[in-house]
Amino acid sequence: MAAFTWPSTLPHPVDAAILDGYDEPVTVRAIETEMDLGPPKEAYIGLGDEVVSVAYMMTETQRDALVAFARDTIKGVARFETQHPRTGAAVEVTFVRNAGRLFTDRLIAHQLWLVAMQLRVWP
Amino acid sequence: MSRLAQFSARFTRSLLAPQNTEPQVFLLTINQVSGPYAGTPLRVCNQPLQRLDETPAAIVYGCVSRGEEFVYFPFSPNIPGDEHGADAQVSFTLPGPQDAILPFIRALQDAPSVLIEIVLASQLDTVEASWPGMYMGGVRYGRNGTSFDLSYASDAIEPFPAHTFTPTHFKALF
Repeated sequence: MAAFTWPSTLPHPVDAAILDGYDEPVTVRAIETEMDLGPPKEAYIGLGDEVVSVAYMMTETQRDALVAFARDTIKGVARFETQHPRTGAAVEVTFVRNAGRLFTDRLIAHQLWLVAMQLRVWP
Repeated sequence: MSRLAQFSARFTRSLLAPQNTEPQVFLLTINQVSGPYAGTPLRVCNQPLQRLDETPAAIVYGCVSRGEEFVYFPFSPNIPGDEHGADAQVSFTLPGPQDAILPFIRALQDAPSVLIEIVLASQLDTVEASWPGMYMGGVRYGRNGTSFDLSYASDAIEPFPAHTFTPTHFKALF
C-alpha cells in the first residue's frame, strides 16, 4: 500500500479527466535480436508497466496544491494511490518525469490551467 | 553432449522459436555457510512475474518456484559454458540500488555457494537446468549495482601433496 494518496482537493481522477489529453498505450516487454540473415528473433519477456497520459483543468488553487503534492510531498518519485482515469479502479502510480518535469501546465484563462501529466501505473 | 539435448521439448522450443511467447526465468539461490544469514538463502530471479510483497516504500516483484519466493532483480542472465575448455567462471551484475542485498553482502564471512537454475515462466516448479556448487567471489557493490563472479572450486589450487607440491616439478602431470 502506497504511503500517499491523490489529494482530495485536486480534480477527481476519473470524472475530471479531459478526453482530449488522454492516452493509454498498450505495451508488453519484449526483446528483439537481429540475426545475420532473415527476420529478427522476438521474445516476450513479461508484462510491461502502463503509462497513462491524462490532462485536467485546474484552478490556481488546485494547481498550487498539485505542485505542493508532487514536489514537496512525494518529492516527485514516491508512489501514490489514485483511481485509474479510465476504469476508476484503485491503482498505484508514479509521475513519469519528462526532462525532469513532473507535468506540463498552460494558463488558458484567468486562474485556469490546463495541466497534463503522465502516470506510470504499477502492475 | 550439448546441454540443449537435456532440456524438455517445450523449453527447447522456447529457446529456438523465432517468436517466443514463453519467457525463461533464471533463478539464483545464494547460500551463506556461516554468519548471520546462514540458513537463510538469498533468492533472486530475473523476471517480475507477480507481486511478492508491498510496503509504503517499495513494491517487491518476483516469482514463486517450488514454494520459495525469488525476488526480482533485472540482471542479465549468464551461465557457464559447457564446451570443453570453456571458462567455468561467470559474472553477474544486479543493477540499481540494492537495499535488499547489501546487508547480505556485508555480512559475508566466506564465499557463499550459489545455485543457478532455469525454469519456464509457465512451469515455475519444473527446473530445466541447474548449475549447483558454484561459489561467489569478487563482490563489488556501489550505488549503481552489485556485481560478483561465480566459479567452481578449482582442483588446481588444492594443496596436494600437502603444502609441498610445486607444479613445475611435475610437468608430466599437467
